Amino acid sequence: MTEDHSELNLCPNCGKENLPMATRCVHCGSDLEALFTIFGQSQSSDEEAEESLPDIIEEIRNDPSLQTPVEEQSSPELAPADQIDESILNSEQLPDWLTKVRERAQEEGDAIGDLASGTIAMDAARSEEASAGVEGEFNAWINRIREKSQQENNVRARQLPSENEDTDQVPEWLQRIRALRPRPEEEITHEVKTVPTYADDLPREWTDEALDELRRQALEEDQEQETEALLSAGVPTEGEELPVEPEIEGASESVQEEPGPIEEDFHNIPDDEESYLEPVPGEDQEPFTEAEEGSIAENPGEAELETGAIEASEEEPGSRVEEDLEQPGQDVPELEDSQSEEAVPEEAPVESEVSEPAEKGAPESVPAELEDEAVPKELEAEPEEEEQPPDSAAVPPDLLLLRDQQDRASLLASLIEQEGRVTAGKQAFRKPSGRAGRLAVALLLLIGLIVSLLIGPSPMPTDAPKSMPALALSDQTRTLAESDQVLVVLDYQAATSRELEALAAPMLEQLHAQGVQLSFLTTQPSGLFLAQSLLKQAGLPEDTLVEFLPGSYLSLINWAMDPAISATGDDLVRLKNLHPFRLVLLVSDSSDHIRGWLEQIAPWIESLNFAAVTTQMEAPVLSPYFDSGQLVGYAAGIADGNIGAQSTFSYRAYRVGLLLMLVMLLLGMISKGEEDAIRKEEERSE
Amino acid sequence: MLAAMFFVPQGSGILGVVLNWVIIVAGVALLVAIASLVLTHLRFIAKGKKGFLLSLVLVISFLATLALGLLLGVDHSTFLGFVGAIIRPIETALLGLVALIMMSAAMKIFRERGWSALTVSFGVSAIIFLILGLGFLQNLNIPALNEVIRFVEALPMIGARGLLIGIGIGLLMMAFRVLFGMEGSGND
Repeated sequence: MTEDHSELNLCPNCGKENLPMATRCVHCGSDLEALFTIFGQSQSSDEEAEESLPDIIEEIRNDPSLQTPVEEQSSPELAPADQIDESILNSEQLPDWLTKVRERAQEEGDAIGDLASGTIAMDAARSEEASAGVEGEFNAWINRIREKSQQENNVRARQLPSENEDTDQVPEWLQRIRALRPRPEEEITHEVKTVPTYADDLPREWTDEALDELRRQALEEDQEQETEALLSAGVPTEGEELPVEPEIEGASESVQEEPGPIEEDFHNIPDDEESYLEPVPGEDQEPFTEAEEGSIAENPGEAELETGAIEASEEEPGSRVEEDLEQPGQDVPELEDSQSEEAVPEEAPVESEVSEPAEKGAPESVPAELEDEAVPKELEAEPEEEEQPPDSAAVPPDLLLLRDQQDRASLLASLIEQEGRVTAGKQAFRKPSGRAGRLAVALLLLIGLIVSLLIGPSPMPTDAPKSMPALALSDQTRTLAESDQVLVVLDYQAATSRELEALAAPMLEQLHAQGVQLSFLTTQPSGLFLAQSLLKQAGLPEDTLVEFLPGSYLSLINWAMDPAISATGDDLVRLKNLHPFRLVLLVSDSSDHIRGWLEQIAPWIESLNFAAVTTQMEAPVLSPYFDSGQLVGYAAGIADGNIGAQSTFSYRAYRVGLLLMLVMLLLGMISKGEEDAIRKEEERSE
Repeated sequence: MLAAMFFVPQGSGILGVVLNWVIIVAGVALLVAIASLVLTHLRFIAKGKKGFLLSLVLVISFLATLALGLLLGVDHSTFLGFVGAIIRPIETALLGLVALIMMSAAMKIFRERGWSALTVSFGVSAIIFLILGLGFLQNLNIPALNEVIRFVEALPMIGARGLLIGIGIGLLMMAFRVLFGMEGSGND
């Protein structure tokens, strides 16, 4: 009810109103695509052009005003169709938005927009890169054909001057035109706009009379008779270009757009040159070799012609090719015939001159050489065009997607498809926890312990070799007499009591058997109950006095320095003086404590001899003192325990422990070596 | 004290007094440490802090030992047997764990440290002395082998001498640093 009738489109067939977005008339069903033609944009399909062109051509023929020179008829920037459209549109009352669009289109050189232009340029550049190799081969093949044609033309050009003199005032170009016969296939070729490349200085401007004659003869003569007559008329010379007047252009335009039955068999190649239309032999289709290039270079004049043609084709490389690619349905059949057109290079100017006015009204054209280059592009672009809409001209340029955008879109689609699916994922590297190793260690220890316990304690063999300090200690104890006093200092912890008691108990038993007076002193609170166990093992009476000296060996230092003061100062300790003792036997698990005795007390009492019973771990530290004579001897570890009977010591368990330690150490080495080997193997495999 | 030690017997009286002071201070410090330990764990028990049960065990053990020592005396055989029956297996088990850890460390040292001069020398020396500790080679009674064994067993003395010399030099340097105020207290 509120429709704006000013925006409705009128059907060209029935004249009834249709909605602006309707593509077909709702009343008669006719196609309304023509109504959607944007002002300033060329027609996109050949069919529409073919349908409308006959009428236009007929009007042009009948209109005497169109017989004026080309400068007055039309400007190169504006096509006749556009002029008509513009005149029609100007006559109507245009809406504001359309006026603004037109103004902006006139102001801006590229009405398509920067984004769409960049998109098209990028696609063209990519397609050019992809088809560079094919183009190279194709150009080489074309060059070979051109070379042959140029050679033939050179030969014929030497014969033509005499023939031209024989003809009566008939220019050679007219003879050639008469020899021409338009063909429908070549009409499409006329759409190609080429930049003419002339290698000679022949005149290219002609009189009106000559052009009228040319047009009349070209359009009205019977084609078969004329063809037969012109076959014997001669061969065009090389580089002889045919000037074209506006009338001819109008005629040629009509030839392009009106494939009537008269010009149906018209083609611009003489019959004697039809051999060039034959299929190119396979050997000529082979890639162009360097030797062949060299042969071309030997003919500089011909090469210049070809080079000029190629350069001319390269002058407008991008835009027209892109436009061609956007209109695949139009140019593919033309390009199929482009090979035959290239075989006759002297006809290219005619085509170019003829096709100039039809640039805007007709579909976009490409120079002849560019057409050749565009063939592989379009052939290559065919599979891509399958994915795109069949007529890309129907799609707005700003909706065209780049390849990169398409790739990203496909990637996004694949990601969306994979979303929610259960995938394996990257599993975290599980570092071995080492439980198996720990279990092996524990089992080994348990087995060794159980076996050693089941078998029972095994005494140290009496014939086992003893260490030098142990032998010295044994000799020292044997030299003690019955009246000698020996001070036994107990300074060890419960953890090492088994090892030390196993060494000290037999020695104390032997000294007690010798009648040596033993005095026991401890500087550790735990020494009291540990001494009880030692005395029991040594077979000494349980009431043996074991004195506790607070302050550790600092008090002993005080004794050593001034025995008189110490004797009067402390009544709690019966032991007041160290001088009466002949030997001090240090039973300690600390080398520091033994060193304190040797370094702090021994210097004060030179008559004292010091011996030690310690653990095997501390023995190496005492070895220098034994070597220097500060220690008369010492016994350390299980190995020196064969001094006497050992009831509390299991030599077999000791050996099992050592063996397990050895096995574990070797296992560590082997496992490390295996790990390195596996890693190296993995590195090699990688 | 250092000066007194150089002037013996003239300075021995002073040195004896100073040593007694040291012993007294050390004894008092031990009492203070025991009191601090007990009070700390009593505080943990009062606050119900995590692990207060262990604090409770410690305090009960301390009070029981103190009570038995006061009642029976530190020289009583029952008291000594009671204390020894607790301490001896605990410390022995602790030493067994140390042996187990050393065994595990011997196995892991090559994995963790890789092959280096330190690890290789450690492994080789450990293997050699473990084999010697087994006593199999000594029982062979081969004179030449015994000489080799004796030479190898003397090698630790070289290391021990170097160790002792290093300890002596380190103590001397530390003494000088303390005397000249270059070494702060342990809390710095």
